[in-house]
Amino acid sequence: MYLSKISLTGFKNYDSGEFELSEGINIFYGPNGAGKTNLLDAVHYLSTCKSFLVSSDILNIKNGTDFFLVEGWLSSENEENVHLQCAVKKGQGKIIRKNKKEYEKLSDHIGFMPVVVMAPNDQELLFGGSAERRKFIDSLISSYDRLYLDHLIAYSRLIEQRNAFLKQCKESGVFRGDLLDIYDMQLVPHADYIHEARENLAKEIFPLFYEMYAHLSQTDEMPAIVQKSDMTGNSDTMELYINAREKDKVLLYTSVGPHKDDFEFYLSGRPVKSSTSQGQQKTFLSALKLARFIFIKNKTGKTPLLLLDDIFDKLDENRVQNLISIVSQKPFGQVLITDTGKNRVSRLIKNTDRSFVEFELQYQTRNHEQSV
Amino acid sequence: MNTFSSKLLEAAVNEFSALPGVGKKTALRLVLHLLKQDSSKVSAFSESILRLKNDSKICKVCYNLSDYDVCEICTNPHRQSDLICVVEDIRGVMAIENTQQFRGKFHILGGRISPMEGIGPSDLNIDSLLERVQSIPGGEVILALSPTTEGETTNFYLFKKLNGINVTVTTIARGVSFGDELEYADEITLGRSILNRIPYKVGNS
Repeated sequence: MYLSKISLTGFKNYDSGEFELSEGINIFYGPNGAGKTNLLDAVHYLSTCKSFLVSSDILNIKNGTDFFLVEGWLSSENEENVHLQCAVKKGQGKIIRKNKKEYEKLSDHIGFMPVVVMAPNDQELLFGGSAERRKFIDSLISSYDRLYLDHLIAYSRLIEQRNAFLKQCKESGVFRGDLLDIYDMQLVPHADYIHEARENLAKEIFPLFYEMYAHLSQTDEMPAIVQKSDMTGNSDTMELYINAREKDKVLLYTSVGPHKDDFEFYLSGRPVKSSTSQGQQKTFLSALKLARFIFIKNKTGKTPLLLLDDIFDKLDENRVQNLISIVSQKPFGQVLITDTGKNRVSRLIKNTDRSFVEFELQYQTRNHEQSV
Repeated sequence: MNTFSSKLLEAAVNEFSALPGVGKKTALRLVLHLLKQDSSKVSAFSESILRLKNDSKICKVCYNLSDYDVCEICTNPHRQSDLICVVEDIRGVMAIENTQQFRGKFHILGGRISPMEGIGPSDLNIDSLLERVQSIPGGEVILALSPTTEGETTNFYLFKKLNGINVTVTTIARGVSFGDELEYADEITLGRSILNRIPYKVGNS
């Protein structure tokens, strides 16, 4: 299954736009502000019902209009063609339709057409807080384990209540250990499930990641990811929470548990964040995304669409060539690439035997009212 | 945004729109409707609200809303006294009464434990429940709270408190709704139903 056509109306800088896409590699080039990334974001909307750049849907509506509509047509050899629509209207929220039929819940659609994005803002994974890294892991697990998200939601809700309870105890000066027992006992099954799922994921995805890093860098650099969790090596989760109580009473929040998990990134023994080059960091993140791709493909049997935003960002030409060689082979399928230069990417693809199409995007005036 | 030709109209609309779930437009529609009615009807309307507020009582035993000191469910001799169904509020009583399947009595907690909303165990009618339960040795307490995180916390808390008292503690069954197609059941519910499956009995459903 691949995206054969996409149409954008009132989306970001597009009044309207339509692109017939190839099943293989699609290259979008043009100057800054032409709408290359926005086009990838539109594809992201069709997959996940949200942007990979902006958290508010409303901000993706073109200035001067009150709604946007993104439509996609999916083709495949042996299945029926599918038509997807994602619409956001000011004051009316978001609607996603498959073959004109509206989904009751957005979450029912997620996973139907998986995408993997590689973009400059992936840096957040490295420089952002631990929540970013947990989100990366959690979304991967949720893609094949439907129960995981339920455990995660129930767990977070309990932690919120437990934290509120700790604050309440402080305010009232009365500490009710009996209610804390209740929260801790309820947390345990969720914490155990979440921890086990994350450990299992790590076992499967880390080797894929190491393999991808080696392909991309073609060096002997040794990447490593270390999972940091209070739960590791701790057989009694209840005890973990009980032992943290004195500390929690002072901090007024729950200081242990899977909601504090983190992942540390190393390259040949050095922390990636502080002592590697920007190119090495980008390689690290790109390898993570490629591993994510292979993982989803293995787990769900679906080939995600790969979105490579600003492919030359920070990588040297050799590594870009390696990246293109990797994604132009199986198991990779449809790929959408953006770049500012005209022939840079196509020249590298010509070294592979993969077919590609190119689209030139022009700079568009963002505000038409001004030009009148 | 609205400009009213009458201050009286504006005051009434403001009162109505302060009600939960009622916006300005609905409030205006309701007020204009009342304005068209006979004076006697409107008097009856406002009278009923005043009387509700001034004359209604809370049952001393189960905390249900009642016209008397002890409610009609608690004083009904045909209802089992040793079977107490614990609910959050009066809506729980009404929902269960409507099923016509329950012949015991109720106990209204007045909420559920939720520190985020500032509700702790001492804000709920728990001590009186424990007292009541002491007087029905060998009886049964049914926990019928909403199946949310807060409901579960409250269930669990009550269960621990009831531990050591000579009563059976049960909770309402969770499962697939009757008349539903299996494929439309949500996954958590269906998952739980499979895990907590029950022996087949004719007419079970």
